[in-house]
Amino acid sequence: MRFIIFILLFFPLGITAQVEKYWVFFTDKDGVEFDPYSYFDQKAIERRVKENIDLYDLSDFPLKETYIIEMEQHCSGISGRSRWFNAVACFATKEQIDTLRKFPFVSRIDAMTHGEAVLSGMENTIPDFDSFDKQLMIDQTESMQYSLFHTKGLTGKGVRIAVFDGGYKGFTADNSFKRLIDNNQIRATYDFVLKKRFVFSFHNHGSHVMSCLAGVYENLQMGCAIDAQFLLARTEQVLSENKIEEENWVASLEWADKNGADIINSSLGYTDRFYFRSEMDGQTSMISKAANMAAYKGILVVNSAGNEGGSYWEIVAAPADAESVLTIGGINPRTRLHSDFSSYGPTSDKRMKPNLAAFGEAIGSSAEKREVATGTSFSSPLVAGFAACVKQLHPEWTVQKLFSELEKSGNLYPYFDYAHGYGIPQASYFLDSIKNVMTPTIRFSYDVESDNISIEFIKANLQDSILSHIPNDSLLTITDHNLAMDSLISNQVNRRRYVYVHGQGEDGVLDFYEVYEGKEMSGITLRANWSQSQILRAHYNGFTIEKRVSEIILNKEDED
Amino acid sequence: MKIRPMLYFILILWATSSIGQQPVLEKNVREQLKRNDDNWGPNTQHFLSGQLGYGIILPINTNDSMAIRDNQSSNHWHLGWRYKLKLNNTFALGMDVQYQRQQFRIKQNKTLSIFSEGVEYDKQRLIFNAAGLGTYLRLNFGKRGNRLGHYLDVAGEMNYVFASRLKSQKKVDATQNNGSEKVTLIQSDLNYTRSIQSFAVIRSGWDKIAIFAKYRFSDIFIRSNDFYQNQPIPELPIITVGIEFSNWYVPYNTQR
Repeated sequence: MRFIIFILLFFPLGITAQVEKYWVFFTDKDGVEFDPYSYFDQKAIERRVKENIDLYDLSDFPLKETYIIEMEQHCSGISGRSRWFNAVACFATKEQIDTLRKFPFVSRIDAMTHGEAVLSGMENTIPDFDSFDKQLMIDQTESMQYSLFHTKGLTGKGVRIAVFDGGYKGFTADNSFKRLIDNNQIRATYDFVLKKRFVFSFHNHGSHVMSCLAGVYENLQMGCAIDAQFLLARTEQVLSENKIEEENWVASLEWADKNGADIINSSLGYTDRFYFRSEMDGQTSMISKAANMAAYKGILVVNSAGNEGGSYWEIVAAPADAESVLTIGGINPRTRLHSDFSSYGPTSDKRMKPNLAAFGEAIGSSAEKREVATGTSFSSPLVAGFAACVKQLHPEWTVQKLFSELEKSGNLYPYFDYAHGYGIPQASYFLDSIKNVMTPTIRFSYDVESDNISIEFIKANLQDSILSHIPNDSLLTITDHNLAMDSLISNQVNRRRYVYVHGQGEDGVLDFYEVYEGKEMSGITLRANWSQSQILRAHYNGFTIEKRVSEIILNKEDED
Repeated sequence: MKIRPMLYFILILWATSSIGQQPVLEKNVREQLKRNDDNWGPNTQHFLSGQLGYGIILPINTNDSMAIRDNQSSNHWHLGWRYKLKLNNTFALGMDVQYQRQQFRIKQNKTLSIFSEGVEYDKQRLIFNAAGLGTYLRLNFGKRGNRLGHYLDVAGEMNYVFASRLKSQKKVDATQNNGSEKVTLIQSDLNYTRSIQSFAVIRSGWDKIAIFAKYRFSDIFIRSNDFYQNQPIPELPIITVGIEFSNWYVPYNTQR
C-alpha cells in the first residue's frame, strides 16, 4: 500500500503535459494573392532584379489563411509562420499531431527541438584603454588591410546589413555608434523574442558585434562598414535558462529579406542540444535550410563558426554548416593562428568550413565601456563589414560571385584547411593598384633513405616575397590612418610566419593539415602520414605550392 | 677544455631545430570524421556518465516505525557511474554502479533508548556504507539532439552494506570524565542490520540534473526479538527524495 502511494506521489514528477513544438508544412498556396511592391522594401526588389529572381516567387507568397484557421482549431497554439517554407510553428500534443497529419493540406510535420543556441562571447571590461587595446582595435580591421578600403572610400555605403543577436544593450548610450544614429543608418529594429520593436536592452553582445561592424572610437574604426545601413533583430534570449526556438531565426531571415538586407551577420550556432554532429551536413537543420534559402534570395549570410573547438562538439554548428553560409573562424591576434576555441570543419558531409577567418578577439563597445570581446561571434561581423565594402565596390556582383571572391581574397588562398578556411580576407585582392608578386618561397623534397617528405625554403625569394606584401608608400599620407598603416606594416614584416601544409585525398577531402613555425634556417619534415595518392599543398609567405606525392617521389628518383 | 661549451652549443642547436620541426597545429581529419559516427554519447547507442546525488530521508513515520529527527539531518549520498543503452528515441535501458551512504538520525526518547542497553543518549546516528547495483528503464520525452533531454527513469536498486555503524553521543559531567563534556560510543559491523537493501527509484531528469525519489523495500533490521525489549526493532523511514548531478563522460580526446 505504501509503495502504491509512493508511485502515485512521485511518478507524475517526470511527466509534465507533453505539449511539444512542431513545424507543420502545408501543401500549397493556391488562390493566395501577393503584391511584391507593397510587401518588399525597394532594396529587396532591386536585389531580386539584380539576382534575376522572380518578384512573384511562390516562396514569398503569404500562407493560406484558411489552412491557418483550420490549424488553430486543432493545435494548442501557433507561435510563428514561414512564407519561405510554407509552414507554421505550433504547439501540439501527440494526439493533435496525429489528427493534423490526416489533413489533406498538411504535407509534413517535423518536431522542433527546444534549447539554447550558443551565442558565445566573453567580454572583459578594460579599466584603462591602453596602447595594447588600441593596437588590438586597429589590428582587428587592419589584419584585413582595411585602410586600403578606407582610402578608396569603401565603407559599406549603400549596403544594408541585418544583424541577428541577443540584444543591443548600451548601443544608444555609446558614442561609438552616435554616427550611425545621427545619420539614420539604423533602418529597422525588431525583437523576435518579445515581438516588439525595441531591441536596445537585454544583453550587450549585439552592441559588441555592431562595434566590429561599424563602431568608431577616437577616430579609429572598429569595423569596416561604418557607412552601411543596418537592420537590428533580436532573435535570441541569451540567458541559458530561457528557451529559444530556431523559428525566431527563420522569421528574422524573412524579415531581413523583406527589408532589403544585402548581408546578414549572425553570431549563433545550434549544437548538441538540437542536433548530432552527423547532422551538420547543411541539409538537416531548419536554420541551415533557411540560410541556403536566403542565399537563393541573393543575401550573403555571414555566420560565426562557433566556439566549440575545445569542446567535445568540436565542429561548426548550424547554420554555419550550410553551403551558402560564409562561415568565419577565429584567429588568435597574438599568434595569427587558429584560436583554440574556434570550431573546426569540415561539415559531416565533408565540405570545407570555415570559409574564412578573422580575429577572434576584438574590442567591443557598449554604454561607453570598451571591452575585449572573445569568440567567433566577433570574427563574423569583422568579415561581414569587409564584405559590405566589397559589395560597395562591386554592386553588380551576384551573391555567388561575392562569396567566391571573398574566399579568393583569403591570405592563404588557394591553400585552405579546416581551421583557418582560406585565411583572413585581404583588401588588396580587390584593389587593382596593389598586386602581390607571387614568387616561390618553398618547395617539396623527398629523401629516399629516410622515406620522408620535407618542405625546403627557397631563401633567394624570401625577401622579395615579404616586400611584395607591403602596400604603396603613398597611402601613409592619410592622416587618420597613419597609426593604422604603421600597424599594418609592422604586422606584415614582423609577424611570425608559418608554413601551412595539408594532404588532400582522392575524394577532395583533406586527410590532415599541419602548421609549422617557419624557421628558415632548416627545412620541415612532415609528421603526418602521407600516401602516394594524396595531393600535398603548402603555403608560406603568400605563396602556395601544390604537388601530388607520387610526383614528388618520382621527381626525386629522376634526379637520382 | 673547450669540448663542453661546444657540446652545449650543439645540444642547443639540436634542441632548437627539433622544436622547429614540431607543428604548432596538427589535425588528423580522417580521425575527426570518424567521430561523426560515434555511438558513445548522451543520445547515441551507449552512454556512460558519473553521478553525485544527495537526498533527504523523509521523516515519515508510521505507528510501528522508529522516529528520526525531522531537521533533515537524516540523509543519503551517492556517487557512481551510470550506463545507458538506447533502444529507440523513447526507451532506454541502463544500469548503475554506486557507492551509497545513508545516515539516520534517530529521534531520542527519554523513555526509550533503543540500542543502548539502558543508557540514555542525546544523539544517535545509524550509518550505512553500501555498494549498490541498479537497473532502470528510461522514458525520454520530446525531440532532442545529442543530449539526455527530459527523461523519467523507473529503477530498481540492490545495495550490499559493507560497513554499518551506530554512533551514540551523550553529554556528561566533565568533572567526572577527565574534562570530557561528551562521550561518544561507536559500534561498528552491527549484527542486527541486514547486509542487503533493496529500493525502487523514480528519477526525473533534465540533462545533467535529476530529482529522484527512493522507496526502500527491504527491512534494515533483522527481525529478531533479541535486541530491543523482546520486540523486533522498529523499522526506519523508507522514502528518500533528492537531487542528482551528472558529469558526462566523453570517451575521446578533443585535442587531436
